[in-house]
Amino acid sequence: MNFDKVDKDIIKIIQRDVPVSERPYKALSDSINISEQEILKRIKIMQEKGIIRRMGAILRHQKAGYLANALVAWKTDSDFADQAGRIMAEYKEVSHCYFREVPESFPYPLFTMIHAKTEEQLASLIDNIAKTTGLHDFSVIKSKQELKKTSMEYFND
Amino acid sequence: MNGVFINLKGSGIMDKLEDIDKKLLDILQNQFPITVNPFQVIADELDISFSDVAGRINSLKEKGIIRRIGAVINANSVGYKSTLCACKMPEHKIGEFAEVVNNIPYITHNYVRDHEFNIWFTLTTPSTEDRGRIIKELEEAFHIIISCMPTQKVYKIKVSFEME
Repeated sequence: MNFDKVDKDIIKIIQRDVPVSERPYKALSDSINISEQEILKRIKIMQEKGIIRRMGAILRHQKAGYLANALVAWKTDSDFADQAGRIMAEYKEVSHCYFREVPESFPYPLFTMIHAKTEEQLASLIDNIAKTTGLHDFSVIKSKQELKKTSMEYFND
Repeated sequence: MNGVFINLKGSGIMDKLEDIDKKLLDILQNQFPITVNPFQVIADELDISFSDVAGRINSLKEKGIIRRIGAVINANSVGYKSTLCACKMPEHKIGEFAEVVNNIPYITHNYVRDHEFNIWFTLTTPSTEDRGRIIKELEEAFHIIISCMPTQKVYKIKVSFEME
């Protein structure tokens, strides 16, 4: 792994809520006995390496006005998946697009999470994606109840 | 396609946000500066004071719009293995399952969904052995079969939402 103990310590604190203060990284770096400059330097390096995908605010999208959300899984041949996946990724309303290993009972390996403000917009987006990719066999799986949604905490065991 | 994100009518809380809050949310999501005084830099960009920024952020957190401000870590790059899982859970066991899952830190998302597989959750573990162990325990405790659908390829992960 291309990160060390100090990087792990940093991840353990910045995966939580950064304090809203004038020098937030000062308090964080003090708590793990490194300098403010060191924590900033290492965060930047971890961002460049892709260990940190993003620093910033994480929203609750429903509260932010995205009321119509669906998991849509698409049936596709594995040779067409790359092309379809790239087309789907272009849509700004598609937040996640993955190819997954799936069981025989659920033959829809290309997964998308789609977010819209209204059900009408969601339906027309799905319709549009089906047309542009030519994939017409798909499963729209809406959530009925959120039982748990938290942020993953790494290195906490 | 354009316009989908612009129309904020009917979206509840967002209607009541001031433009400056929407701008603040966009900056906080997409251009959060890695510097000694990130909130002051943002305040300067919005031409408001640090204490105004802090107050607005606290209020957005209270309204539940901001969950947290921090890092989003790439599970794979720190050696963790993640998968989506689905199962058919008898309706009367859902409450108990939710309670068990709340005590498993490796399961971060858990939803009742409108599908033959009525429960869908994500499982991110330090190893595939840990994954296997947790799945087996859940299967035995609830007398269910859980299908794991691990990621083979990522085409997109975007975790920010446009406000403006």
